[in-house]
Amino acid sequence: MRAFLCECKKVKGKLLAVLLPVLFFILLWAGWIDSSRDAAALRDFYTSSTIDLLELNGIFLPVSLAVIASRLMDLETKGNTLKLLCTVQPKSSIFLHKLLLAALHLFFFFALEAAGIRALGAALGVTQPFPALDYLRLEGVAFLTSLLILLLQFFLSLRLENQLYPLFVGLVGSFVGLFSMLLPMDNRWHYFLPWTYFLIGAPVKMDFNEATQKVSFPRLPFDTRGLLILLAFTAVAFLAVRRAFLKKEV
Amino acid sequence: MKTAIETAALTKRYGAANAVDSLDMEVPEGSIYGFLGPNGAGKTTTMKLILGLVKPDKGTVEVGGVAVTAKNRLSVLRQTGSLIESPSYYGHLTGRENLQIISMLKDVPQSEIDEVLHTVRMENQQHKKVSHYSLGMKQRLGLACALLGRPKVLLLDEPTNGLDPAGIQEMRELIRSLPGKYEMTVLVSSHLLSEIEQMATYTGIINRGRMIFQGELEELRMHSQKHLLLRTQDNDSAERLLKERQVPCRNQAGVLALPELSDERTAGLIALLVREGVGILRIEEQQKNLEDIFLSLTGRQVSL
Repeated sequence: MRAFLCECKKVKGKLLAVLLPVLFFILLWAGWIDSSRDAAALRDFYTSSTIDLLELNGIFLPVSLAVIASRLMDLETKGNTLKLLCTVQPKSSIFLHKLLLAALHLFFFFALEAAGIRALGAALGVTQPFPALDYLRLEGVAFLTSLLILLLQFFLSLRLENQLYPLFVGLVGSFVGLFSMLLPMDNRWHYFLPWTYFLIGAPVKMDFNEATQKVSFPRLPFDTRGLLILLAFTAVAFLAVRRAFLKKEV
Repeated sequence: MKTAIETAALTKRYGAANAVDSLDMEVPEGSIYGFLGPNGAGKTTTMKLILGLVKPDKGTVEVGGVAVTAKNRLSVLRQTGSLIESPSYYGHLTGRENLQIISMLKDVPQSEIDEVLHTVRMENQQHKKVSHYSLGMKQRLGLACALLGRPKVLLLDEPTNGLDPAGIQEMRELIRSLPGKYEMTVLVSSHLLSEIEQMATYTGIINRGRMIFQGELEELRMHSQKHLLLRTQDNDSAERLLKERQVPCRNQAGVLALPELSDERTAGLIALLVREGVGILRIEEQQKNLEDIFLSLTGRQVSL
């Protein structure tokens, strides 16, 4: 517990400073898109918002996670603190508490994101019942995907001296996230790109009927295979990054 | 002699080169042990090995009589404080916040923070962000971190590096006061011989990873032999005459070097040379200073 509190003290709001503006922006954007719809479209507000969140998370989170990973690692690199910490704390504990702190931030980020959409719906007078299970699926997968991306960014931040390169990778990830939504969501091509794993949690897809000029949201079956791949990759990434951290010369 | 730190055959290889080579170090309890060596001699690596920050390829380390292993490393190191290479700090936090983090990790009461701040004379700067500190202040903060928990052993790696003359003097005084104030053993490394002379009571000299001398400073000075230097108008004749009288001497760069002789013998030899028509230009007694001894031991230049 002491080690975790120390980690919180060290970070001193640096992660919130990244995540809160992103959350605010995502909700603002989602609210702006949805409030511009007609009353008929608002009937599917919560369902259509899952598509908005998939897209916005895919765009904003990869680069935000790159910044978070870089900040967490840079904290120790900049001031040469690892050689001091390693005399009072096991190295593995330093890594675990950093990851735990980031995971907690992400957990609250996604919980607040879902709560924010719920609040937006209430403010807009949406009558559709809030599909809590769909949001649990969407945000749960987004949480796991973010953990995986965070671990990959940790790895890059550990291995690369110049922190601009991991940030560049994060930026590329954001582009991949942006374009992932333009491809068919029920295809499995995206298993090759971790930045698109947000799609595994999609409860619906969006179909636009050109003849009727109407949008519909057919349900998607739960992608169990995708979730297993995501869990397996996250576990492998955790072990690889932990090993890299322990091997890092002090 | 009770030792605070002891290493036996400590070895660390980086590639084909031995950074530390079968190092046997004995740091007496309560001493200020000056760990002296040229840059790249293996001082920092040795300190990191003692702290378990790097794994040795061979050899053992004991701190306070307890062998340091991977399992007990942190519990043994509880009685140590360290400042290795440059100071460690979180620049976006204040000095006090930095100390709070270390005191939490060391499980030391927060009240000790005021005490160490007082010791390093930083009470007035404690609420400033460390990124705004000068290097001297950062070094003092590093020392304050090391002092938290009142360790029995303190390892300081080149603590005066980069400080201005006033800062160097202040840091030296601070280090000198520690054994008396906290009853601790200090292992302080430096490539500056003069610094070690001013601080240490005991010294170890490392060169190319090997310990080439270990003992009290006085013992090191005993390596210094007095000799006479003689300059004459005809060094060749003088050398021949002295050798005829069984006085070993060698002609080096226009000066004859003779072993230490009694006053009577010296006077007799001078009189002889004058009688034989060899004009005496200068005669002086010379003793090797620590710098010369260091150079003769390491064969490498060291800063003064």
